[in-house]
Amino acid sequence: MKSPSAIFNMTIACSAGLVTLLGYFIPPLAGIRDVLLQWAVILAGFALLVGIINLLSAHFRKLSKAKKGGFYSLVLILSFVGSLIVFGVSGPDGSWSLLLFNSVQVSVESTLLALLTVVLAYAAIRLFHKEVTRATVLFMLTFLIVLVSSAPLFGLSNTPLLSELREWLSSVPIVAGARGILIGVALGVLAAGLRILMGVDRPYGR
Amino acid sequence: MADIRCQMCGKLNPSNLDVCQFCQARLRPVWESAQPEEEPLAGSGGEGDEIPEWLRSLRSPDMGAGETPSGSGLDWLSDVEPDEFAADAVKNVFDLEPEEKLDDWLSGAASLAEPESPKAEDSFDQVRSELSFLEETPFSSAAPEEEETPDWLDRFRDEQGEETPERMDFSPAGQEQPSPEEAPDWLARIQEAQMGDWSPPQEPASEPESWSPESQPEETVPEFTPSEEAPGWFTEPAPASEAGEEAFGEAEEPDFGAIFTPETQPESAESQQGVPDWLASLYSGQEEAPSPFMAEPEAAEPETPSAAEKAELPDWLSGVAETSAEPAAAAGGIYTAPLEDEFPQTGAEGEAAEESKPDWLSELEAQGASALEGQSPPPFTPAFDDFNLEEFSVGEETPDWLSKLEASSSAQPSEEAVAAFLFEGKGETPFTTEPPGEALPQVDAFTGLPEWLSEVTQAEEPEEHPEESGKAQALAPTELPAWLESMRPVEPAASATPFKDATDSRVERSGPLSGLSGVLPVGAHAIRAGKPSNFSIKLQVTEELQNRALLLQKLMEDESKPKPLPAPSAAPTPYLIRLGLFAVLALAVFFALFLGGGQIPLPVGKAIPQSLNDAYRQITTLPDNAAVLLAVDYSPGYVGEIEGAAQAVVQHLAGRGASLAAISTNPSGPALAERLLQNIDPALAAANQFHNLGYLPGGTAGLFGFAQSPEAMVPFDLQGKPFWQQEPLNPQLGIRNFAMLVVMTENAETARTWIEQVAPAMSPAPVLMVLSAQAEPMILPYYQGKPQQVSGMVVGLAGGAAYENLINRPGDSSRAWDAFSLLVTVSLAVLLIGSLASAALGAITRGKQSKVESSV
Repeated sequence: MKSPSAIFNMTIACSAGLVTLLGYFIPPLAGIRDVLLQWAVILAGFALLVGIINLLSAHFRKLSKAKKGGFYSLVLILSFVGSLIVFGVSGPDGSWSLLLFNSVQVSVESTLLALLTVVLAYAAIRLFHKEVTRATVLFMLTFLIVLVSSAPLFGLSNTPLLSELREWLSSVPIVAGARGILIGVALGVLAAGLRILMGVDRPYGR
Repeated sequence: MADIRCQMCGKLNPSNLDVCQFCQARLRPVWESAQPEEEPLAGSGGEGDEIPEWLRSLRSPDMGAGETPSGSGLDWLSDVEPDEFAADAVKNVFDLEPEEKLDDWLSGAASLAEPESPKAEDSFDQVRSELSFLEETPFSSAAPEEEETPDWLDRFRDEQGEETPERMDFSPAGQEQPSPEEAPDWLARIQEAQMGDWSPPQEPASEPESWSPESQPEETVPEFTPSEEAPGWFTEPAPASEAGEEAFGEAEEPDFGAIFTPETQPESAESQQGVPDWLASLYSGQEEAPSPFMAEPEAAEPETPSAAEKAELPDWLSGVAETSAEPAAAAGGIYTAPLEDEFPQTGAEGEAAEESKPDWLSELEAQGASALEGQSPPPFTPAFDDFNLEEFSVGEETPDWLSKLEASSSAQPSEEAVAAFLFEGKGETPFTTEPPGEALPQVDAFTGLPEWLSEVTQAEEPEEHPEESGKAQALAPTELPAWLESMRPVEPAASATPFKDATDSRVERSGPLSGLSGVLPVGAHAIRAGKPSNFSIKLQVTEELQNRALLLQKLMEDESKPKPLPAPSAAPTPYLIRLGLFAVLALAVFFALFLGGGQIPLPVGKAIPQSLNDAYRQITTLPDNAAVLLAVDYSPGYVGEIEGAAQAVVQHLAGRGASLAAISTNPSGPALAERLLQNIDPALAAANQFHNLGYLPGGTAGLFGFAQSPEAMVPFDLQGKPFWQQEPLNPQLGIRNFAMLVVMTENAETARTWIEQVAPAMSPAPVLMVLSAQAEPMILPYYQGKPQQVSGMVVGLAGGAAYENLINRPGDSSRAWDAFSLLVTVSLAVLLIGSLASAALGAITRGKQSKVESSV
């Protein structure tokens, strides 16, 4: 037998979803729909804040118990506190804020993505070491064609055959595959939305 | 009133009971328990008209109802009959079928088997003792003179219209005569009929005594005469004469005939008068007037009443006459003399009575007279004395009542059945009558049991000794009644006959089981004499078990031993490969930087994709001072790829004088937007031209809400100024204030969300995309679709470089173009070589492994 809280949650979720959906077709419900959306935005922002607090508490607990990796938790906590102080004092668009952002966050993330290049190249090289199959051969050919057509060095990208081949790959197989993925995603989103509206799926908990 | 002792169980019962409260045996005869309220018959009464004439004649005209003739000498009979005896009861008694009434009569007679009186030496005493219960009746205590005539007798008087005679005194001498109310009616009637002729003997009133032969007065019973005066035998007690005693003692039967002997007749001649002939015949001699209770002598052949007599005789009486004839003939059983013999009539009245009396009665008289002629009255035998089932078997001439009894018991007594009581002789029963001449079964004065029963117990004792002698003496089977025989349990068919194993026909010839079959052989071949084989208690382990045990032990040992590590492969570690790849790529980049840039030409002409040209055209055709919404939703890691193209687009928009508003659904978006806006040529940046709206949470819902009500979702910019009230924005238009939407992201989902949620609200404003090369395939359908949802796309570093070349504003993309081109070329070469080398090495390794596996 369902608990009263579960029934209450389901009622709220279903009613809000139905009102938002009907607000597209029934003009009098548009105002209620906008209100509900505003509440959702507020809740999402508050959820981000709660996530940050939870993250700090977890690392603080890890640091307090002197577990393995506590140093990194300390760095995280100090970084958070420092950033909070800098952005709080300088402002989100202050020079110190931008300096901190540009020198730390942007550099770190860019470096991580640069390492991704080496990792992907090594993975491509090791791809034929295990087993040579048709999928791996096709993948390698496509990769080389696209990569060659993008390499302006030695004028390879200006080669008519390569340019037309690249154009065809982009327009036909790639787009077709992309469209199929988009349609599948759209249908999945529709089904998930209906299941939530009907109360079958309860991501908010039972 | 004294209690009545039951003759069956010997327990005392209140006098007002008719049936014993312990054993349900009758305490009184049937006629005693008749309705007492019935008035005695009157002369003009209807009931009196139904009484036979002979019976009416018995009643004295002077006798009133309920009165008994006095001095009759048969006081004992008056003691027997209650005062309440009604005419109907009398009539019923005489009219009823024998089988309906005789059982009670017989039961009453059976109760005589256990008299309470002290030990009687002779049969007469026994009868007296057996009839001692009668003296306890209410009517036995009244004085004869004071007793009223019984009702039944009074009825007789009334019918006859005669003077009710004096009540006949049937009680023994010395006893009080029953009161008129207590005397039976039939007796009163008899007395009335005999009024005038009867002269009951004047007996002094005396206390009622136990009726016993010894207590009987010596006066004999007067002869019954049909006169006004009751016959003597009616009023006088039974004579205690020697004849009577002899009759009872020797013949084992109460010598009622002695009562009616001439010697016992009353002295008064008047008593002789009025006595019916049949009754008088009783006094003519013992042989002429046998007692109604006397059994016929064995020599006399039983004679059944003629048909005429049978017609007149009541059924119960005729049946009794018949049945009594046979047992009387066999062993002196029950005999009921005709009523005429019981009540003989003499004189004129007697003759008249004789003429009027029914034929059956006369026949009975004749039979009785002839049977008893010259013979002494047979001794009294209890009613059940000669009771024998065999004699009263079905099909023979047995009374109906007795035949009914026998019909209820279907089983015939079998000689093989075990007797309920053990007797010495076969077929003997407790009811077996001793042959004539033998003493009547006496009653033990101490135990109260009949002598026959004591004889039975004595007979049982010697049978115990034969049991010790041998087992051959089996108990005499008794004859069980049919109904009891039918109750014998039937053994199941399975166990009817013992199962016999036919496979083994060997018969044991020695030992205690000799003669039996199916016995386990005990011969020498069955038992093997000898010492049993010795079995070692040690575990017998075979070679197979030992091998298995060793294998298990080896497995257990291998588990504890450390496994040797496999030899490292000859191929370099992945760390070195990755390090070499980095080195190669890094050299290419450093070489490009070393070259200074501009060595590799930028994409131009056909090398520029069409989507980029469309994007350029859209911005070029943007109205002046238009508001453009920038969606800065790329992550800081993709700054190197996207920021160049984004910055070129923003430069171009800024050059067009557009008001730019940046918003982001990414928390780091506002910072990237500020970075992006600060890199714009300050000459192009004007005051209040760029607005940073900050972070928009909620993802898809936030974008939809921003699209529907942007002022409600983002009322202020990042500086806290109200954005929607600034020029050239119109608060009324909301999101429609923006003439273009430029989405900058590396995630295809984010781009799709902006396209699906916000672009419809901004329609027909064009949507431009600044994407990473990884997101282009997913957004390309929006660009190639119709209607076209994406107006232009600037993709990756190459697009940025091309766009910067178009606007002729070199930027980061142009500066990174040489390194990018060299890096892509080197990566292509490394991948080709590396893939081939990896494929070759893999093939070699797999070949070696296959060889190793095949050799193993």
